[in-house]
Amino acid sequence: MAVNWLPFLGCLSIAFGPSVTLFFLTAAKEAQAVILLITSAFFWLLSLLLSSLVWLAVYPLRKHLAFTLVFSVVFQEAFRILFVLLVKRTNTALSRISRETTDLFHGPRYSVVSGLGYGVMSAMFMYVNVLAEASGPGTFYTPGSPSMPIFVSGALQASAMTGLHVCWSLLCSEGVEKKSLPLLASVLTSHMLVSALTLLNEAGISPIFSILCCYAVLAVVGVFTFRRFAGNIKPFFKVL
Amino acid sequence: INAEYGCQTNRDGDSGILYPLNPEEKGEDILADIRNPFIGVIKASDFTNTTVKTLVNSPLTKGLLVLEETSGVVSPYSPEKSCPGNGFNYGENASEISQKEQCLNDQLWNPHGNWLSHMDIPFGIFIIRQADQKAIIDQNAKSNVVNGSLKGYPLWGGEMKSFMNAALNTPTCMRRGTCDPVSGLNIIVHFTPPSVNPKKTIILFTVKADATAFFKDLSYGGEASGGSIITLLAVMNALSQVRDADAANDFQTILSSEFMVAFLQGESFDYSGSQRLAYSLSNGEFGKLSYNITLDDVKCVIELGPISLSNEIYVHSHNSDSTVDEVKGLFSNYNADGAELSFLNSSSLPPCSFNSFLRENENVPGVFLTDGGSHLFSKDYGSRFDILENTSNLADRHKLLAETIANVALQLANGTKSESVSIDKTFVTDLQQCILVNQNCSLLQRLLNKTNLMDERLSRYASVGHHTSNYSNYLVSLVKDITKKDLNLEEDKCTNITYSKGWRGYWDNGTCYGFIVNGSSALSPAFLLGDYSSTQYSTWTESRWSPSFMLRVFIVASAAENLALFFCGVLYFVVLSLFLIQCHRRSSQIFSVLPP
Repeated sequence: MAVNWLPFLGCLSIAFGPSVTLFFLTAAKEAQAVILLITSAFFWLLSLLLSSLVWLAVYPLRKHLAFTLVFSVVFQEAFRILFVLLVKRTNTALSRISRETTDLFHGPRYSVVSGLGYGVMSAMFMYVNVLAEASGPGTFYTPGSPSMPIFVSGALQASAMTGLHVCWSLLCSEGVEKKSLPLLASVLTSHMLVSALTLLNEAGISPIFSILCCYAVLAVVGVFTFRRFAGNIKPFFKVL
Repeated sequence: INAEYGCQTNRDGDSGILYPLNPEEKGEDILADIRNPFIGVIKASDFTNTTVKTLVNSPLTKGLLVLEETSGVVSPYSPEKSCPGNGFNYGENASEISQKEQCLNDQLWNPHGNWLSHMDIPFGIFIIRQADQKAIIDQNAKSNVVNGSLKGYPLWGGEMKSFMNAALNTPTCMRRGTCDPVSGLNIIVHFTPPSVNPKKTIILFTVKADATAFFKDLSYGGEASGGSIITLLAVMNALSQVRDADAANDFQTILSSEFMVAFLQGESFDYSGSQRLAYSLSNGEFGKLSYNITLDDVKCVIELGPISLSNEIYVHSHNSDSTVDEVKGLFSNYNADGAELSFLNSSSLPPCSFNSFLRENENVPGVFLTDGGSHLFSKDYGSRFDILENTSNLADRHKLLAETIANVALQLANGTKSESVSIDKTFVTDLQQCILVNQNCSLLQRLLNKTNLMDERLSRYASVGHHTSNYSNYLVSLVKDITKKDLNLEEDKCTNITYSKGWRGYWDNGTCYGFIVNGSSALSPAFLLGDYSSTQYSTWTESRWSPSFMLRVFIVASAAENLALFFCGVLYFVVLSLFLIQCHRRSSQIFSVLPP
């Protein structure tokens, strides 16, 4: 097989590399975390199923990406909230039957794990087809970016989205706990913003623009989450 | 002889940059500044064997795209051997061939032959004929070159896939089961049920029915065999008319010989069909189920070769015996002053199917009719450009030739000059339309009761394995219709063998017709005998292939770009991973106040 390994591995590393690291750091050591991750990914798939059913049903608007995009984002966030509620219910039930005295899925670590599941699944669906072409003999430039092949822009977008999903899951579980509607609304808004920006790619504007915006939003949301969880940045710089 | 010919790509396809080849400008050095794997793009007029040999010698060649000329014709152009049937003509021994392009006979029958169809090419070659596809490929290939040399990346590239399962040579391939022998059916036609007691001698008409070209699906073979098929069908029409004209003077009692026609299949591949027919006839295997005919029963073989380009027809023969002299004399009778056609005698036998009969029995009398004397008249033998112009002159020539041949045959069969036959010219033009122009013609539509035949020129590539090419089916329908006889039976007795007496009857719209048309296997005797490396009989096989041919065109990035992508990707991964790892290590201190 004449597989073009170099661009393939490079793009794979960009899109899924950090997710893999995060997986090993947070979920790999605990079976229940892995189960949570997979279930979370499944919930993303369910939201996609619902989106596609609506797309199928509304025949005249099939060609308009913007329409599909709006309710897809709404469904994704709805299922995220559903998942958080599901975990809460499971927590109470499981703690009754287990020997542990505390809740099974206790702490923000599990939110990170569920966010990772959501993010990885979303990145896979978004990017894996493009990645397969990266292993072929050719490359592909869009009119808007004659120097960056879509393999790279797709990978960067996928990577940023994964990070965003992790942050959003954290914020979402906080929002459900504290019953804070503004928090949940901010998650929905920022998701909608990032997705809508990708629509600009269709219009011939360079995808670099939407990628930069995506990373900017990631930075903002990341800092916001960090602050929300009362984080203290100083210990980060202690390397040894 | 035992080798592999043709072209193929790797199993998963070959890719490279599109590179326009200009042999006119660059002469020998068409590949002077190529340093990357490439797919060549070339005009059909530049597609010569020197160019192909240069490409074959370079390991960077990954494929070739031939753009068909807009005018459609390149002439002279013959990708066949310069000595057709090399090694299998009478007096030749294929085991004496030690090098690839070595001709055993110094007299080259096809002097324009460049052996392209007999080269072993390690990459795929596609021909692009549609104008929009040609435009895209030509434009993209040209945009890769600035001032005669390749510009920098990104460049246009392509990927081609056409994988063949062949392996080295016939014995290896048959053992592995990835090849099928050239086979199909010789179509055998009789005008009356062969008489058993007393047995009559046979006048056997033969014609090569298949054709070939470098690109298999373009095997038009107009002059090579199309014109001769049309003429022979017209001859059969004339003989059937004579047979049916005078019902009281039964055809069978007047003539001392019977006529038999064989449309030979696989002749382009070292005379596979005629070898099998001659073999079956000499072994007494021919027709042994219903009637028995051997090579000794054959009074004369009359083979129609390429005959459509000139008014001078040569009557070739190898041996000179009383029958052959009689036939040549009969043809010479038509050389009157002012006659359209003239017949010239020749005492040498060029490459033709009749050689197979001589190889079985050198005493069989036979003549080979063609418009070439010392070499083929046609300059496009075995090429996709061998297309006869469908003109009224051509119809006249075929009609006149067919009438002459029919007359000669009738005289040969009963020794007295019989009345002249007459062939309807519209019949000839109808045949020309079907065989030379477009298979979706009115004649075939009527015979096959279909209006949706393929709307393209008929390609007559030989049948391989168990598959029967559709030209064979067309020929069967045509000969059944031409030679059918009204049996004068009622519907219930029509298909009954006892009543139809040797005819195969069928009921059509109130009349019971009968025909005697059979298919006899054209599989070379080598495969019957199990001798896959035979030098006496044809051993051609065709490799199996999957129908997933593919050509796509796209932009290619430079190796440097790919490398940069890889390193940037790894760098991004490593940096982010380090960041995440550090976060995790210090997480208990960063998030000292956990939310409740």
